[in-house]
Amino acid sequence: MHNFTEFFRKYSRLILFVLLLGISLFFIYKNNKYQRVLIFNAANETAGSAFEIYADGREYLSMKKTNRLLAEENAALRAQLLSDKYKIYNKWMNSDTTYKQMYTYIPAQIINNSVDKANNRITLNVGSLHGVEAGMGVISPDGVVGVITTVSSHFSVGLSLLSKWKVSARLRGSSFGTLSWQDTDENTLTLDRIPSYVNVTPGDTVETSNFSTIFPEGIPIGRVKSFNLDADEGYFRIKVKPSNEFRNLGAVYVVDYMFKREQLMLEDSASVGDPKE
Amino acid sequence: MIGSIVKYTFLFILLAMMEIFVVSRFNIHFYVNPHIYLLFIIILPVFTNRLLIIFLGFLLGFTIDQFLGTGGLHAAATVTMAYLRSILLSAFAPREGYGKEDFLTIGKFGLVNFLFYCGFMILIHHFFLFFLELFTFRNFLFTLIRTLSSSLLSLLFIVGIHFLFSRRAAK
Repeated sequence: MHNFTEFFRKYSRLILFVLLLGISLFFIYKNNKYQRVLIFNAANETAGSAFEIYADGREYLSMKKTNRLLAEENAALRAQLLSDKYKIYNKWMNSDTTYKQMYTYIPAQIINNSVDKANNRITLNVGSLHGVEAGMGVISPDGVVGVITTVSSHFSVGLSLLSKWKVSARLRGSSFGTLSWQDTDENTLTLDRIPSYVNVTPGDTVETSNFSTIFPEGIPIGRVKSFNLDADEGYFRIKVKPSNEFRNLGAVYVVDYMFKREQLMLEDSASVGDPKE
Repeated sequence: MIGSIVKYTFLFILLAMMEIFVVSRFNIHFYVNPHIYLLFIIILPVFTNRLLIIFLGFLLGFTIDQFLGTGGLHAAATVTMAYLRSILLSAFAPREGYGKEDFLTIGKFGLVNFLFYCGFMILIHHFFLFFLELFTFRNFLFTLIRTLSSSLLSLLFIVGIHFLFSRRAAK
């Protein structure tokens, strides 16, 4: 017994250190698994309210620019209204059963974001009360912003494109690949696995592919800045300049893909039915 | 005793708030990523219970983590720094040793010793922070450059803030 207490006295600091370090590493692990919803809701709410006050001030200062962007987007959307289109065939019909809504958009404001971390986060002023769920995409009038990872009732937190996750993307009108952030500056994304036979020119548009359950097809991501051929693997590695200025994000939309659950469930059950060898 | 508890609680809250609402929003660059809250662990009195220092390091880092949504990143880095503090303190001790009631001020420490002690504390903290953030050896050069460049700016901030505090305390 004496030896036992002696041991504890001698190594108490080391034991405490290892214990607390272990707890920290566990939380990092948990955090990376995007399972933060339950534990951190309270802190999320507090920080969210404070960040919102700060963002209100910034928003006021950038109101003019935001107004212009929204007006431009409004104009683009108006142009898509059926009433703005000239009817060529008189029998053109648009009944409710022809079209089913596939994506809906929840307008939101970015109230906190960073560009200088290895995983850059965005905080939005909408939460589960507005219908936001983890896994939904975030886009701005300029293009893809990120994905929601944690939701509380009034706020949600997500990862911007400047972090360790991958998006399925394609060159407009041609081949698709994987887009990720591998550099250290906010103005360079990397599009990988574009086959070497594809024609690439600087300035080409990179957009979301139709393989995503997060984003609609064809949302712009950026433009080709430069590219080089990985001779060993036979793939292009393309540097992309993002169309969003991640430092100055403001008005965004959260994308709700309404068939997501159905698609994922079908895909899951399909793999169950695969023939065994 | 009560006085210093109040004083250090106040310092804890003040530094955490400055980190969360000011410093973390600088967004300078991936390679320039300063942090100031570790000043709290740096200037705790020399003869504070070492178990308490380790625990406070964890608590401070964890508080920052909750507000920045980084899981346990800052907690891991700060608790490591707090654990290694006593080694650095004895390595950079003033020639005549520490007095009984020493607060860690530049005046009592000597500027050069204080800079070395501070610098190494910051390097340890930043290295663990940035290494765990990327959590890979593949981009090890990224981590090293990031540690060095960010530590320089952090050192500047921390010594600056400490200078202001200790001048006010001296009055």
